[in-house]
Amino acid sequence: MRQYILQRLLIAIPTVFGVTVLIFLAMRVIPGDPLQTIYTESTGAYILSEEELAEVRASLGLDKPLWQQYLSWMGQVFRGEMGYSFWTKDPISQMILRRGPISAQIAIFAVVLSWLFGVPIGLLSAWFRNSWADQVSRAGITIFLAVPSFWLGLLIILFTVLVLTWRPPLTIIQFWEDPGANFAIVALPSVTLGLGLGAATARMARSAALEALFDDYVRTARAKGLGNSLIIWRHVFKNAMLPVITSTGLALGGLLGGTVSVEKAFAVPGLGSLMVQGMQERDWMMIQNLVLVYGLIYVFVNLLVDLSYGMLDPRIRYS
Amino acid sequence: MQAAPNPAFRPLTEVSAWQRLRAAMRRFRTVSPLGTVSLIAWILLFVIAIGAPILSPYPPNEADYSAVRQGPSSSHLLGTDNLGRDILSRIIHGARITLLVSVTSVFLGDAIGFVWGVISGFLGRRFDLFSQRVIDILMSFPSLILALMLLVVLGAGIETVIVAIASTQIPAATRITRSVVLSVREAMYVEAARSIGVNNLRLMVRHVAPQVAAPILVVATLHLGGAIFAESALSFLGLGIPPPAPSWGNMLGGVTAAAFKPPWWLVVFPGLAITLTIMAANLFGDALRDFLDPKLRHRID
Amino acid sequence: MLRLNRRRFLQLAGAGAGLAVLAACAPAAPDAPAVVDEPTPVPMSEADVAASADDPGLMRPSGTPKRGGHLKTAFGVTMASFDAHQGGGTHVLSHMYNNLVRNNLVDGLRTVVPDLARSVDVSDDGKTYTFNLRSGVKYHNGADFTSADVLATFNRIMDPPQGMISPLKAEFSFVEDLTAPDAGTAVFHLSAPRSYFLNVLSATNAYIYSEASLQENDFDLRDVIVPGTGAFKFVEHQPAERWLLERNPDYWDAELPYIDQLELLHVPAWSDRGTAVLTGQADMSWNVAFETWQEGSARDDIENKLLPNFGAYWLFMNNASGPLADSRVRKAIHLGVSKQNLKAAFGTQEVINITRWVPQGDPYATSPADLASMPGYREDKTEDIAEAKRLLAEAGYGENFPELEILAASGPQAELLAPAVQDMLNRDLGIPTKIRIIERASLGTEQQQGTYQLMVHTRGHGVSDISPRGNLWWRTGGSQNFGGYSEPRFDALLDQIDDETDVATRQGQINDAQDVLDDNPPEYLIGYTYHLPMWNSKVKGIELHDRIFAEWGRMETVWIDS
Repeated sequence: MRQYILQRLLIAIPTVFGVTVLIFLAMRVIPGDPLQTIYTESTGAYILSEEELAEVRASLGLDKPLWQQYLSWMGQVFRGEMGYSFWTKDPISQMILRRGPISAQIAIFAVVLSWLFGVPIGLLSAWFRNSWADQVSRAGITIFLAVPSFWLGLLIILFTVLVLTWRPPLTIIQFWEDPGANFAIVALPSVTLGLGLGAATARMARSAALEALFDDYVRTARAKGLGNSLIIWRHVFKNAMLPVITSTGLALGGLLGGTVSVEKAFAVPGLGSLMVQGMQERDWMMIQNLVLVYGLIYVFVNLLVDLSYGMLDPRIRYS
Repeated sequence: MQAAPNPAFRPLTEVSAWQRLRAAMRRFRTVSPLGTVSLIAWILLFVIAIGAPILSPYPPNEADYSAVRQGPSSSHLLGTDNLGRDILSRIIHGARITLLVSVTSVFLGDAIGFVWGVISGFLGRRFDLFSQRVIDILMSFPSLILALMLLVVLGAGIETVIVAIASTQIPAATRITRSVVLSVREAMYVEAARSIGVNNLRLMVRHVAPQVAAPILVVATLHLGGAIFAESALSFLGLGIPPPAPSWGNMLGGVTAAAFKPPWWLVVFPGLAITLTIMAANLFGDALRDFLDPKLRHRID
Repeated sequence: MLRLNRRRFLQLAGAGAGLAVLAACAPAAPDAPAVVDEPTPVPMSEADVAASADDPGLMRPSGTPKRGGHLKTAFGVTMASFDAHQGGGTHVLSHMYNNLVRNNLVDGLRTVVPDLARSVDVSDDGKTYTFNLRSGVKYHNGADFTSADVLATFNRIMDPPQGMISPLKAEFSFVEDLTAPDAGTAVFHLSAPRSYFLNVLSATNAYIYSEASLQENDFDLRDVIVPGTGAFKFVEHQPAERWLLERNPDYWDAELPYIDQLELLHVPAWSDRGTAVLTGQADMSWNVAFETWQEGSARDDIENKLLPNFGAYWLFMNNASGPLADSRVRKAIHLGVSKQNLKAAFGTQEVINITRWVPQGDPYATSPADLASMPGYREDKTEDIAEAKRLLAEAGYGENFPELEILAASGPQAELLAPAVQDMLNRDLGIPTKIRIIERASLGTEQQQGTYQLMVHTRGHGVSDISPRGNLWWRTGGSQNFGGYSEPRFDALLDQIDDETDVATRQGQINDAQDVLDDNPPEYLIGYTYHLPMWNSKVKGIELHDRIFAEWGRMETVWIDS
């Protein structure tokens, strides 16, 4: 087990290195010069001359050779600094720390919700297969697998605004500052993402449970006269959990991408909306660090998912 | 030198391709009624896209400044947008963009993944090891975020959106192809062909690749829904297909995030079009997978 | 020498209205554009207030101001620099500082009133401005304010040290010399009279830094918030979230400010700002989305106002080559494209103020009543389009106009304005175009390199007067004349306008200059914009409902009626 973890970590190192190089190079070939626009817009009219532009570039260290720029970026990341936004001069690491918790809450709540909805629905749907309840839940699964999360978000916003005439707070309110207001910010985006993710979970739980139900040991258990709830709990549920975790792990990429578009739909002040804003403004200092954060989270969580198989399925051997 | 026959793919009696297709269609219809319905929906979408200039009541970009943001009425069945353009006409024309982007990007991405996967799986060794690391890197980005980053670099446009979405499909297609190739590589008939001196290229093209064709076809169909979602999400975020092109995602972009009380018809109809199309793609993909090879399910999931 | 009393201030104010911050605003969306009320013409009040030189301050709000309270505002408060003279966000920072003179908060910005100057003497030739400074004014760190600070501040603007980019430098190009005969006096010597000079000094970004702060920081304040003399003191700044300021108990005007704390929330999107005011998350915003603004009109506890602003949307034309080099083609576009339609098209975003080259809010602007019947500006396009087609035919483009490219920044400009322009050019004038969307960051580069034909973009200037604008934008060889426009008639008129101080004569010259621009347009003006402030009725003392133009910034006379 320990050897497997080490091995996985070793593989992750070149991957992360490649990720940083890819991001870094992508950011250096971006067309358009944000520096020019920043000066022009922040001063109302002023337009930099070539010499002035060169001076601004030099002050940001952008006149150095690429490898030096890359190394200094890596140095910054290791020190936990991530430079400053071109547009606002705000320290990026500080913005990530302020906004990160909101996005993380949305993603985690969405996963929790997807299990709360998805697993019972999938199991029941399998248990009562071909009943009307199964038909309804399968139809629901089909629909929510297809509905784009951002559109679902727009529909929910439309409903709360037109019918309830209510909108969630627009400022950043952390859980430890005001739990109620914080909940109002993250609740609807979490539900929006949780429904789509829950559909995937339910589908996976259903098919895994169906397989388990026809497995020999469940038949044996039934033959022995074990109660239904015990069968579901001890055999079907446990065997269905592994595929469910796999499917959640696979869906994480979609989930992280989903938070970006859903944050935009709900105007949530999270990391995703910050990244999209950075992309629209070509603020590549912001883009390179935020894309890196998303990449690292994704790599790390995938690692956790891989390792969690071992806890759940003793049949998996690490070698 | 004649290659060894492939027992898995040689029909017992020679029948025309057309007859085989018809027989397959008949079987598909009986096995999967839902898949048939979704296939018909897709064919309908193609018809709408091709016939868009005839079917749509107005040109998609014709503004009417005296009829801005009007609800559904007899003259504008689905209402008008911020420039007084007819929503129905824009949705009809939007089908062209949706189809063009999703089909092309899936074809491009999965074709590259297919070729890459075959070569990587078949050659193995260093090339495979290197390929695996590159794929690892590409897979370290959530696909939407990878596409967003590529679009920032490439700039907005139909071609660049296609390239960006295709890039996100490559890793999965390569992985799946490779895994099938690995299992085929050591098969008897490949060994036999190798032993009689068939060269690598020929082996790959004639013996290995055909085995991977069915899985990759299913993967491509399953990717279709994701590609449609990706296009609409990218356009919704304002980094995809540039306006005034009537992409469905464009039509949703900035509608509610920018308004206190957004007009419901601007939100509901384009989203409905996206949802139904993705649903049809998903259902067809599932049906095709079950139809071609139920055992594929595990490998692809 | 002429000693300026309040009345003279009023007249000077009339000669060129002040400054509005051009905020980089996020898009938003309101409803179909409504009829907007006309901007109030600039009044020339006859009230001759004998303002004593030792008057502690001229700005006293009406009513019975209450003390105390915490005011929250909602708008974009991020900035790339804390240095007001290097692009700092003065709509936030100015609360902590003072100018020499400023626009009067309590009369709707109609007059320029003394700030750190007690009074100003203007020589008869209009070339020497002597500022008599207040005594006993202290910075937040306890240091005294003296004329050395005025010198240090403006010398840095006019003659920036190595490595500093001074955007305001051009606005002081006519200042020959700045001297301080004693600690309480500062004198500006101008090379030629400039009727709008006090407006330049009253702009929210023309505030005074202390010499000591400048020296301590190597004359670069981009990364530091240095102490000011202003009514509010710095408490806290959370990036991209909020600023918290508190009352300066030792403010030189002992009456002000009334509120204890001022919190500036970062809400970049227009609609979100409106929502914030409507839902009570903020007490006021300088500019909200039109739709939320309308929502506010229906509420008893919310007030709002449309204020002319000095930034505009343009369809820039490259005069250098191709069909657009022909002034008849440019004039055809000027006549044929309906501003009313563009206003309708953009109605979900910003309220466009249909004006001529000089914006409403400036005293020399052409009145809306006159515009209503003017070719190119009137609603009925029949004659204008016929004339435009005649011009195009005359220029040899009757048919087969070559396809032009419109560049636009992604976002609402590309989603709404560019398609509307494209649609009208095509349908009414037979000019086929193709839209190319690029990032906002690239527009400036394309503009400078001259690699465009048509471009939808914004442009504004802090001072509404045509003189600084004309010299930058339309004079032959002007430093921001990227389209390469050259019209000797305009250049000659501009020379006169620059130096003229007589209001009536200047009005005539400016009218002539605008006629020249209509006849040979350098570009197409889509329209200036309105700002849409909205506030809770309990916010008193800054007379937002009575302002004649938009200015984002200081508000020390504000009080909360709880």
